[in-house]
Amino acid sequence: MEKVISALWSVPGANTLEVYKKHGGYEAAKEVLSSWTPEKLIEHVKASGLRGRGGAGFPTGMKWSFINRGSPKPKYVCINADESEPGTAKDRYILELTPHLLIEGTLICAKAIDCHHAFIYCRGEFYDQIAILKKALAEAKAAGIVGKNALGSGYDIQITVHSGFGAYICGEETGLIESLEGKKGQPRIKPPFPAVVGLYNCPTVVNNVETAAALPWIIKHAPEEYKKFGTEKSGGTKLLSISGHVNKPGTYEIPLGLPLSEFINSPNYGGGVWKGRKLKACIPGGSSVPILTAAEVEKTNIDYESCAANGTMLGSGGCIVMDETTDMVHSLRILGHFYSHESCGQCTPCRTGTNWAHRILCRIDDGEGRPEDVDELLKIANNMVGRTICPLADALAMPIKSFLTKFRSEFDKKARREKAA
Amino acid sequence: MPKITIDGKEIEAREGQSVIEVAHQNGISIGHYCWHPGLSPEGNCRMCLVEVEKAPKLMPSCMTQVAEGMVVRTEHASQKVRDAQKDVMEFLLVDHPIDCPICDQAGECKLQDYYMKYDKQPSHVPLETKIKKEKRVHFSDQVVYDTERCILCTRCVRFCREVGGQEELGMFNRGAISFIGLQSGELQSPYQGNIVDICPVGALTNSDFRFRKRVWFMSSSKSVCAGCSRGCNILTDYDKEEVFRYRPRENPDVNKWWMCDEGRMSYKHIHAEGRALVPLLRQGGEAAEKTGWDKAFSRTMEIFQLLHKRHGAEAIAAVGSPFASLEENFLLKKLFNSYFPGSPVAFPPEKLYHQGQGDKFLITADKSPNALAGSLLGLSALDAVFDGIESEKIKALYVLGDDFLIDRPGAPKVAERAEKLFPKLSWLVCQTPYLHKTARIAHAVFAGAVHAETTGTFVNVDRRAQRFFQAIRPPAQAREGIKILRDFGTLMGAELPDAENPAALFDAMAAQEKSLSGLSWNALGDRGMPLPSQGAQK
Amino acid sequence: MSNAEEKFSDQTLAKMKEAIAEYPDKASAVLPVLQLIQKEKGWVSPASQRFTAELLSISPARVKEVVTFYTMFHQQPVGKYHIQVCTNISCSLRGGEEIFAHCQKKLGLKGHKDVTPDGLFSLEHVECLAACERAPAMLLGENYKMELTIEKVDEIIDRCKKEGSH
Repeated sequence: MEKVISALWSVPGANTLEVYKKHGGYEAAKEVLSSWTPEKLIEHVKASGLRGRGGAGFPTGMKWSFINRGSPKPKYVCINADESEPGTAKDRYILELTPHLLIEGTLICAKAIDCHHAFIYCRGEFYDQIAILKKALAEAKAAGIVGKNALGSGYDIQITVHSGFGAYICGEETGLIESLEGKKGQPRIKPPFPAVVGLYNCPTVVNNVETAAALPWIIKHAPEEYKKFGTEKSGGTKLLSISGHVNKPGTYEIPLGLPLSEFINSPNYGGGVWKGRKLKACIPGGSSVPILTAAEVEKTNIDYESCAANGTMLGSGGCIVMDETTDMVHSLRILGHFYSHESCGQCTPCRTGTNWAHRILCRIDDGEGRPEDVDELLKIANNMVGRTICPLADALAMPIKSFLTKFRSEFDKKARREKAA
Repeated sequence: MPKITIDGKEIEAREGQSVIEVAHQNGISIGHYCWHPGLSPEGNCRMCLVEVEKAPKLMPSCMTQVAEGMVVRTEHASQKVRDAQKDVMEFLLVDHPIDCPICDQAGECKLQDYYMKYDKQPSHVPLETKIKKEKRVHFSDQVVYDTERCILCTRCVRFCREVGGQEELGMFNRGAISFIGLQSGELQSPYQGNIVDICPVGALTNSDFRFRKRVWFMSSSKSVCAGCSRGCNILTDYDKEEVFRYRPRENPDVNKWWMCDEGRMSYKHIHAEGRALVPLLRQGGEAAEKTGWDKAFSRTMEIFQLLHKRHGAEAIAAVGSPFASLEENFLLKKLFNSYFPGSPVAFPPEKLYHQGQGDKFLITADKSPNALAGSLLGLSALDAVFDGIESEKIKALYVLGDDFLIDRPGAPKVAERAEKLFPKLSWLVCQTPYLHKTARIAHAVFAGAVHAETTGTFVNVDRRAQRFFQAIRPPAQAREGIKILRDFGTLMGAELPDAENPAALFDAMAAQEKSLSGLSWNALGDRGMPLPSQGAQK
Repeated sequence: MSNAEEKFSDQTLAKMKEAIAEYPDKASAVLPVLQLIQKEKGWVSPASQRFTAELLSISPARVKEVVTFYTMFHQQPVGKYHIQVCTNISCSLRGGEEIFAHCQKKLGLKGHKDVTPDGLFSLEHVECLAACERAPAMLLGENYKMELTIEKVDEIIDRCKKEGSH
């Protein structure tokens, strides 16, 4: 398969402007900035079927089209490089290996909404990656690619690399905007959506790194070409990380629609469950999506529709594989810790619910549980869902509900303090 | 004007209003913690959720703006909403210490009220598994914070940012270990007491009130703060004959929901040392001695009549007070004008009680509550009295209220003149709640009442007449000022309006005073009324 | 700067100025400014928070909100080598928790963000570092260390001890 995003990953020096340009870098951006109208760009991307790769999967062209470009206010693009969904390690590759691809994608996003100042919000732990990106940006500025009259197009664009500092919630788009404004990353209530009231109260689009990185290829090709990679409704390719109990953990670009079991087992991808063990479960799209049993994995393809049909989500593309020895109670406890640690603390159900669920999980896991704890957990999960400003509470509620539904006996056993068989 | 439907009721709302505002204005209650009409909404407590037709999830009514044709179902019409509210209550109480027996908020706590209304299920979280957080954190001398009781609604944070003028508080950390605090130091805002009022739970308490009184033993009377000329509307909370606190009472035209700390603490003057408890008479000797009301009145009357006979009516003058009600000043004027015509009934100069600059919010420079009374009732300048004493025309003086013998930066000459001239008087009567310097040199002291002990009207800096109601009785043998004047007047043979009936008294006054024309006691209502404009009087 | 409680190098001050210039609203520079402070001082003291507030014309309370919200800010000094071990799901499936326990034992550190008496090391467990595919992972100061084993961790710590004591 031709690679859309990862084509240059194995090319030495692809993080430099010289090598990137040698491989056709910035040609797409030059064309778009010089001669495409935002309308043409939006239509092209709509036709390609590209959907947001950060997790929600919202059609990118459509998202851009919500911006009122006639507004007298400045318009802003924020590139979300706050990659922090457990299981997901894909944007890191783009930042490290092809920073210019991201910059080029950012220029294209900017043009789509008539934005002249874009921000790339990177998670703070990415010290090395931020340094690489900043170096690339400096190169691009020096070469007249970013700045006034970018690429000789007459279009002015400033790009600012902004570093977060340890807050998962800043990956949520309004949390990210708050953070960029110099505040705690507490998500905002929607509506109003960022397209209307975003950064500095101006129309704003937040696009994921991977989404932006797919744009140069899409621009250079007919929209149908991109669509061809995937299924009818899920067009294109996707970066997927595979982690956990597999022989070949890594990050791979796949055509959407690839069977999940193939992704886990193929020597081109995960290389099969490690140590000759059997598959027990898989979280296909990052830790907040419902878990699949081994049997469900067999039925699921990696695309938005098939995941939904099997009761889960493609999410951010963080595939976590668990072998038959995995302790599901302990695994859910880890997720409980994560989400309670990352809850911003605004909404009552999330602030208390994630923490309470985590405490119950701890006591079950530590052999100090009570039989009724399992139902209590389910109740907490149900009481959190859909009642908060952002989806963080849902992001723990969904794993709780799916773990408890699919692996209930393990929880009951531990809660009743039965000795492991 | 969007039309919306709440619980089947069609309502015309104003553009930009939130659903909760509209619901409350139309008598539909919606449970809430973080929303406060005087603060920007945040939507964090999740208690005010409602069903909005076509919305995928429940919406916080505080953050949902009305839109034409919107159909809303609140807790009164939706089981889904009631379930959500019950769950929010459960979440709020998971780590709550349930220390109501030692919590001062008990009795006026939204957690208690809403537990009874929405939740009412037995706790299934053992106390020992709850998160322990810091207790008794002093934000200042006045405000104490209990982290465990806090539900993180951030009303206090928003108050400081939006009303108090300075973003002094923040919500620190995140998730379940979040807490409210200062970056460093103590709260500086002169309005900080308000954050205790708006804290819906027992997280913020006022060190002045803590552990002094269970709220359910107290009654409240509607009143007006006498700390400055703003006239913030307040509630006087009292039990038996003791006032325990002042709280702001909502008045959109005056103080909204707020009051300053100085005003809030001014209730302490009521029970301060140095109150005049009984009438006093000084006869010959140095010190004034306790006496009965009859004796004090009759001796004063005798002397007034004697001086009247010898020197004419001009020999007996009076001075009103901006600390006394309009009614008191009016009775004083009536009494002296009818008996001693031609003699001045004066009023202290406007600047006398000025201190500092005031601020852009509620605090004014004038520390008296009723400074306009003098001009409204057409009283003379104080200098007329001083000049009269100096020229030995005035031999006796009846003084209402405050002390003239202390230096006040607003009008330094007053104390100087009073000190020089008062000793020349043959008879000085001081009707006052306090035994201050002027009272101590007076020949007769009529032990009076402070405003919490009486009923009447003040006119604030913006010419708004506002009623206040008696909370407690004057201490010992002290009497309400209007009663003293009326009783003394009756003894003198004057016909004065009935002081037992505040409505009749006010209405009689309004009928006689042009500046108050058109006003009536009942019309003033709970929020007062602006006086007829000055132009209209002419 | 009138706030004399905390002093910073000219280089740091210049970088702060650059950072502020990047944003339409200078309050946006609160993260970069605090990051520069932590880079120079190793942590963000209360005095530094007040300095930042004054520099950006925002309230000290807001700066403290930021410092306490973003967990990478240190509110007390940490070791010369600050180790952050990921114990989230992908890492723990491949031994992340054992790596953390090993670090605790080897460094004799118990609690979160504790520092060794010689001031050389501090340790914390952190949430997902986005290195799941090369788990288990940790950050040593500003550098990722991935595909860790007990032996690799020993090697890393021993090397730091050697370098750090010089």
